[in-house]
Amino acid sequence: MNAKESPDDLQVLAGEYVFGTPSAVSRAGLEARLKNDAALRIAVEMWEEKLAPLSELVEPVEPSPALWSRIESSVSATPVARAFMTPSANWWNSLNLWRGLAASGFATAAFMGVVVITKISQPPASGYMVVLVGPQDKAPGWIVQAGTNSQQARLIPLGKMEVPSDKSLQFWTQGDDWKGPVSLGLVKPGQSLEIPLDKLPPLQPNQLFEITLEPHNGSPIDRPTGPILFIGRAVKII
Amino acid sequence: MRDRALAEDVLHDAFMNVWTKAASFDATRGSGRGWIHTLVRNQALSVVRTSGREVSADDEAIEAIEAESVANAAPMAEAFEISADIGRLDECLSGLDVPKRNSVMLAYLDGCSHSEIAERQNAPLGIVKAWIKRGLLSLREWMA
Repeated sequence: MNAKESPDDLQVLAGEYVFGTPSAVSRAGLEARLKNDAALRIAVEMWEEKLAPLSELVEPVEPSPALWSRIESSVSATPVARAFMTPSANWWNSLNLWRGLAASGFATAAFMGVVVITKISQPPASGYMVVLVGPQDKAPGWIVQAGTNSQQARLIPLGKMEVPSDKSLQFWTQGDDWKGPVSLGLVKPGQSLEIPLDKLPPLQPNQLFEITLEPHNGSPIDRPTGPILFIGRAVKII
Repeated sequence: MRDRALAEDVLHDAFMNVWTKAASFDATRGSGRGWIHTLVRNQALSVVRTSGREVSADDEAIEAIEAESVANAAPMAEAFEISADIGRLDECLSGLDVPKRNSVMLAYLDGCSHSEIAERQNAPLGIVKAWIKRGLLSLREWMA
């Protein structure tokens, strides 16, 4: 560390690095320094963690499906991937390999890599899709996507809408053989939402989804009280 | 990233990094999601910063030219609307005054360099640097 650098200087340096404001040259300098400077590295990690929620403010952009296949083919061309994929290699039974991997903590990380790659290389090909439309005009307002065994569904707005300030949108679902609708929580207009499904029975074809207009804090009871703004049924995609 | 093709290149390269650097992921230092996020972000920044999108000017020269022009500038408008739940950060950001908050958001969300922020906010470079520096120190204080 630079002898004249105060703790504040270090924080600003780290914060600016995470912001990305430094020029390419300063950035390269900082990256070189990060390798040996633990204090700077800790400060950078602190900023990365603290600022990450800001990313929620960015509208998500869906990459093209072609990108996933491109990543997939690039990944399978790497030496690590080839080692994993060669069927004749007896690596699974190699004690030394697993000892080595366990010692380096590589197993978990590599497994994570595999999960990531598997997840991203499967565009939402099979699963459920719901298009929520206005009951009168049938204009699509939202879509819901979920993988077949996914514990999560994603509610995606197709446009913006105005909701009076004393009202809220509430999202509901009901299976054919359920006693009544179950609330999936409040929804903000124009914002997508990840919905955990782990407390619910598995998604079924034709399952009903709807968004109703409710009091500000949501329906006071366990079923909708306001008008249905959008409604749709789950369709299995092959 | 404003260019879609470039953004997809970045995502491709970042995922290659995820694959090849998986061994360096350390769960004790944060979540996998955060780790991937950082890899993607850093990849994007390094491409943007080296792509020549920036016109590199002599910082001091610009500062000298601009030195007095802002003192009486009109009050600045909010550059971003905080529309998602970002928890405690929201409080911290609300504690900043508008120019500092805008600078922080332009830097983090739009990947702007100091000089791009200066241009977008119509403020001298030196002042922008000071805003970011003070913004960072205030955020640090509130987040501690």
